[in-house]
Amino acid sequence: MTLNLQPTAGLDQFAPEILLGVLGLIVLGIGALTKRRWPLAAPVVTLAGLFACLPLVAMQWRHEQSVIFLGSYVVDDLAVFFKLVAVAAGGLVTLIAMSYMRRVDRDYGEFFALLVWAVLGLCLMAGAADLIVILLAIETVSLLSYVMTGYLRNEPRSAEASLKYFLYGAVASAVMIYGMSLLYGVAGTTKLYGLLGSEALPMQLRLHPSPLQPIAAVLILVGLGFKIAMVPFHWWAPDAYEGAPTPVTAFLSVGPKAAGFAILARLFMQEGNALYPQWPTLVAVLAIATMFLGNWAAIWQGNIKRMLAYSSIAHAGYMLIGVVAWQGGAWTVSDRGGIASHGGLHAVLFYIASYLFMNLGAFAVAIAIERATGCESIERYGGMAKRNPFLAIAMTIFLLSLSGIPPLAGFFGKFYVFNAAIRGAADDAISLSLPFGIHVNVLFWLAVAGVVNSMIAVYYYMNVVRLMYFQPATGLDAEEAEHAIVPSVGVQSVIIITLVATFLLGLLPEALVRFLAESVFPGGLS
Amino acid sequence: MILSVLLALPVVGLVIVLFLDKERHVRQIQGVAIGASLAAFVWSIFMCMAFATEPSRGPMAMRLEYQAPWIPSLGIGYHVGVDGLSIPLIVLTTALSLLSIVYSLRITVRVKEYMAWFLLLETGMLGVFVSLDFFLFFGFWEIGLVPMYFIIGVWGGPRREYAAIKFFIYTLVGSLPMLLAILACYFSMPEPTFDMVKIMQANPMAGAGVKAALVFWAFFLGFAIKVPLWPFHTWLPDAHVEAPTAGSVILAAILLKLGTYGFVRVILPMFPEASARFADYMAILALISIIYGALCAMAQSDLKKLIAYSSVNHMGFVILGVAAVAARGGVMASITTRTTALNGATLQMVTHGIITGALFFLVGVIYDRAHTRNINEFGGLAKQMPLYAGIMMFACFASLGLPGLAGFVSEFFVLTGSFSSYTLITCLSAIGVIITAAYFLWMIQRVFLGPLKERWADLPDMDWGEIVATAPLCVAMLVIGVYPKPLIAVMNGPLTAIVDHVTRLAGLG
Repeated sequence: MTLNLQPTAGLDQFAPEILLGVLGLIVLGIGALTKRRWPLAAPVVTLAGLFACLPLVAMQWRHEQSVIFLGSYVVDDLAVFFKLVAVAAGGLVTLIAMSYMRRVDRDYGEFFALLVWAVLGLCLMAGAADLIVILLAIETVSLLSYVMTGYLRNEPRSAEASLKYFLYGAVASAVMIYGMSLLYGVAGTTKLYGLLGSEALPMQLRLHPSPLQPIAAVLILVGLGFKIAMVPFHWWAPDAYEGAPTPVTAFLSVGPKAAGFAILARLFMQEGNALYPQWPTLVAVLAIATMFLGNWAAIWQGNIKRMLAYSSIAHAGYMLIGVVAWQGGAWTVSDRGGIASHGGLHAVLFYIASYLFMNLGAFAVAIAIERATGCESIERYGGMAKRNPFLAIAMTIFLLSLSGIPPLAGFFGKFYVFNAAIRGAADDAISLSLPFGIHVNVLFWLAVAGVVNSMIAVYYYMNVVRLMYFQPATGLDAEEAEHAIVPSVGVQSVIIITLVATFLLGLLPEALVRFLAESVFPGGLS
Repeated sequence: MILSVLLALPVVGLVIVLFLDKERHVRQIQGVAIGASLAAFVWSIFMCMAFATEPSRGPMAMRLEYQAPWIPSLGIGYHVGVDGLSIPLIVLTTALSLLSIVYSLRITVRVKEYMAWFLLLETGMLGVFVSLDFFLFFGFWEIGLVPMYFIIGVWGGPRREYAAIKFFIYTLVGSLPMLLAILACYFSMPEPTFDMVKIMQANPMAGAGVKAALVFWAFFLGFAIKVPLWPFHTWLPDAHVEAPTAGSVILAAILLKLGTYGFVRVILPMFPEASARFADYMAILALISIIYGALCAMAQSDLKKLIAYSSVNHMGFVILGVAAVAARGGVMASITTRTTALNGATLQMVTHGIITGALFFLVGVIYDRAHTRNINEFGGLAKQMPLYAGIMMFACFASLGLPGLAGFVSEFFVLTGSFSSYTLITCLSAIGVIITAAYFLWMIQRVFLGPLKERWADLPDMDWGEIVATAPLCVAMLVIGVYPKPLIAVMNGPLTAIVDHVTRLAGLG
């Protein structure tokens, strides 16, 4: 760990964020100048900027941790991973949104500026190392999300979604701020990484445990649970997802969710679970509820966006298994002898990477079909195999991956997560003693719940496949049903990129896993 | 490497097919499909020779092995190999895939997709037979599922969608518990590994615990649905009736064997104690399948359904043989009788594949001409189609177990071997043989004998394509029926080793 007491020191490590901030301004300017004459100008500049940002972020993958800006911001492998996810999500969503957002009745460039700043917010969430910075980063993302959700302001549904999202979000943020203030009161500091070690928040909490800690931890969990759509703080998600412009929905389902997990990791994955020693049990219960509710509700949805919304709630539940079992399942990267000590954390990261691609892929197909049929109803997927075989097969693969069928990316995401839980369960790492002498091996039952849920989920994912292949097109005359669907270039390229990634992560998961295992996360977490 | 090439050959054909134009290059697509499956068949013969020349490293050792790490962090490897158990099934697969593709030249709808799915199916089936890593095994198992789903669902009969979905759901319901059971084995191993050989040696499910029972039944369910064993058989008649001819052939001849192969390769050697514990249940289910399948077959008026139910009957004998290996009771049971039973069961897989494959081809022949499969509508066809009648009767006789033809040898082995383990059940299941003879003969009488009906007076006899598809199978029925020794010699080694392994670990006499 390197420390520097100069306030401006480490500015060079802040380059990607600076680039993103400036990029947003440039895109905004271009959008305002070109208006609707060159509608491609703003998204193309956005893409170029995000693409330039990728190597800048990747160069920070150095297996070391540096805390900058007087201990309020951290650059380490964990942050870099989440920044890569954020930038990739931003780029893919830009491609999807390129033609979709043209139906907006006003300057279309500013949407991309908002998107870039939202990506910036996600990067800040990834690197935030101070309660106040965490809060500011989350609020940045939230405010931009509200605006993007309501971007189709002439559509009541969009406005309603935005308002609901905002009201829920505001309450969740307020609750979280209250939790943070309690934490500050207990520890006397807001910094996760102290300049001299002893000042740091986790250390303070270990030295001076306080009965307020559980309350503070739970209140903070409310705020983070809202971001990652964890039950019981998920109510906003289906409505917001349904009402938002679909590219925004795609973005919300991966970006803020991933970043929420970044903060969850940084705050809660502390040696001895310093923040609140019992949090894994609490989160385990919530994870089980999240999985069951998400999958159960998804079965009954008739709207593809609502279905994907509930499915994304369920996926947050699977990821939470890995969060609970963050120390479980150390694995050896055999031929190089490296040992990844925190299997659960690595599993969550792998899961997030695979989820990013398979979920955005599914949304890309949904957008192509929505644009063609003008309707988000799942029933409209009937006959899709005839109207566009490529879209049908791509959707099938994304849905198979989401349901966790080997050998696609989603299977290994689940497998690594369950692996961590079961390896942890073998040591009975988290146990719960109930009255009447009942002893619960939390991790074991968590894994069981995950497996049961994976089986439930197969039903509603495969239902879409069944419609696409075995039902005739409904509500269309014969001519329309024969009419082929041609997705835009942007959507098509997203589908291809995500397909390749879904297959690669499935067939060669080792590549990413080794990459993760060789990086050093725990340094910042202990 | 030989096995990897074998797996790759259909995939190469598949990739070439995908790059051909679906309208302008129909002939080329068919040519590539035939070429790829022919190459796979020739290569499988070459594999047999390589297998014979490689020195054996012990009774249970695999040959032509190839091993490479794939996902070391999870202990998943690419591990393939064959022994005397899988060799005949591999040749059966390549041969019937080739014949099916030759027969499928008459398919005119969406040829490109059809051939592509068929080649993928071939790789999936071959993969199951050569995999020695559970992960690989499961992957190939699932790969076989998808093409069959589409082959039934797109090119099938009037109720194809229902049949395809039913097939898919049944098999998926079976394979998910199997996946869980595989994971349970994986997590019970001291080191993380999916290697089937290692798991078999370590015997992680030793003892009589609940976990061992659950894992056993999970595997049992996955395999029994595929076999199919009563009461999991209801998808089979639907799938068979609706599937196109070549789909039925592959379904009956190979896909059902994936289930029985699982019994011999996985259930017996990996869970010897649990197998011994539950052998009686297996034997009873096998008996019910034998009798119930035969009775159902007798009640059918649809020719295809009749043969589908006869499969339930014949597969029951395989399971009976497997159960006899692990039977606790039976005073006279010895390693010799158990080995005979297992030899019979394995031989039954091969002979059933050959005979029922041929039967489904032959049903396709008559359906293409008459557009009906209703037995009661036919009559006197022997006069009109002498060649067809001859071949059909030949195959029926083989199926009902006429001595001198293939079906007799395997059923005889099963019955002789099982008699010492399960005397009563074996005697009862012999009734199934009699019913089988009855319904086949009755069917022959109604279809081929009697006066020729007016409406069938202009049916042409078999054409060359159909003869090419069925004749080799008939030759094989006769050869195996008269001289089964070489085939048994190949299988006997590993099967004896499996019986030794089971009796030793389960403490059987």
